[in-house]
Amino acid sequence: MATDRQDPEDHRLLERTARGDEEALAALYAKYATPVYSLARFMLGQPALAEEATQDIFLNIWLKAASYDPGRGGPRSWIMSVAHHRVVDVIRSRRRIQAMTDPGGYETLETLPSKQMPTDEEAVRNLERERLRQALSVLPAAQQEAIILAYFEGYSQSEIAQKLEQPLGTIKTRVRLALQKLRAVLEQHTVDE
Amino acid sequence: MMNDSAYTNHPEELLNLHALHALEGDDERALQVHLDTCAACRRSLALKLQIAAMLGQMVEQQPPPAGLQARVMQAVARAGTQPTASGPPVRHVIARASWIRLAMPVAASFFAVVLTASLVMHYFTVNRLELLEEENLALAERLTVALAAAAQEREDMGRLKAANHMIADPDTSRLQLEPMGGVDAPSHGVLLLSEDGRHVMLLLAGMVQPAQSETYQVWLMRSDRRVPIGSVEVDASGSATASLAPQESVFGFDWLALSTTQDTGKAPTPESLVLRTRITPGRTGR
Repeated sequence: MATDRQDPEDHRLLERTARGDEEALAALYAKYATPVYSLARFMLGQPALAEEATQDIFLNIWLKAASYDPGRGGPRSWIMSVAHHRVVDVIRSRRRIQAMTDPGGYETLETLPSKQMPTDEEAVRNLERERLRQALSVLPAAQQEAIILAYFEGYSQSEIAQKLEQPLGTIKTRVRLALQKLRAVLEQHTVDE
Repeated sequence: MMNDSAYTNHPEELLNLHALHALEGDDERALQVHLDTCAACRRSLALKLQIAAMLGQMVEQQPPPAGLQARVMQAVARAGTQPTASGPPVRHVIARASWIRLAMPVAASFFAVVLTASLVMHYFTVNRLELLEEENLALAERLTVALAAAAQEREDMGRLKAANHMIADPDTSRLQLEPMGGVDAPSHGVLLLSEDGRHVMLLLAGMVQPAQSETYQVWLMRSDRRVPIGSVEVDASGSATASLAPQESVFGFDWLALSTTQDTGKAPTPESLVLRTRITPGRTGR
């Protein structure tokens, strides 16, 4: 099974953070600010929103460090999970507002930030999505779509089923098969390193 | 929708969706309950979260703006110490922390007032209880005394009734008790005798209470015998009523006398005799 290579050191940093050690939190920020900010920026599409989300994420790490349970994953997994959860909350909150103010524009998240972005940023975003699809190329297109909608666009299982007009069981199966393939990739990646 | 927290099998598909934060509602709550009790699912979830973290790092990596770390640390300083286990989202925590900071002094003052009031109430309650206990004891003593007095009065009334019956009975012998100090002595009384001489009633007045006790000993006397048949209790006014039932008929004796002697084991001395009367059947008082 693959493991977090930084696990022991990061675990100690999380323990110190849980005891109120701000230097430990600063060290965690130094290690994880880039992947956290990058994920937030990719999912939210706007640097300002990503900065605000990143600030909230590290504040959440500070406040929730005592609840970190090593039995449910390594520090890297936990930090990225906290980050993803926060970003999904922001996306869903904005989607609810969008649905209330413009019900016709609710259908796709992708159109939500792009309406406000300059053309060159839109081009960058499309490029990022293409890179992601290439990274997920190990997956069949239907599984890629399920993973992108669930993880990167923050849709719930029932929303995905509705959006793709597929039974909920089909969505669950696609997600399960996708994660099985990604697990194999992850284990191969760990062996190679 | 899955509503049962006790899954018959490990809910792999729900774990997948949970790791992607795509689970919702009852399914999410049921899975959390299941995770608390299933180590196998926790291990499985750890792997799925690792895959999710890998997904999160598939995006192009861009460093955050230089000033962001300072803003994060300022936010941490504002949030104060510290972490809670599995706390709510940070904005709620900050709002709640502010509310708690305002509410805590008020709550502390309130509890201090309540505690002080409780102690004062306790003090007065305990004191009041002690007073009530003392009053209760005093009332119990008074009741005991009153009951004893009532019993004594009932007993006295019973003796007076018995005396009335004997006085009204034409077969009763009435004998005048004579003081040993002569006719001028203050003590005097009447002896009532039933026809068979087995019931004796003494009505006394002007008696002086003996120094050592409140009772006089009653004797039947003849030349060869001195027989005690009971005692008479005199009240503070020097009066007494006594009903006695000697084992032998009074008419077998010559005298009935009252003595101050308490020791019934030996004959009374002449100096201890207070009142006496010669026993004569059918004789009435003077």
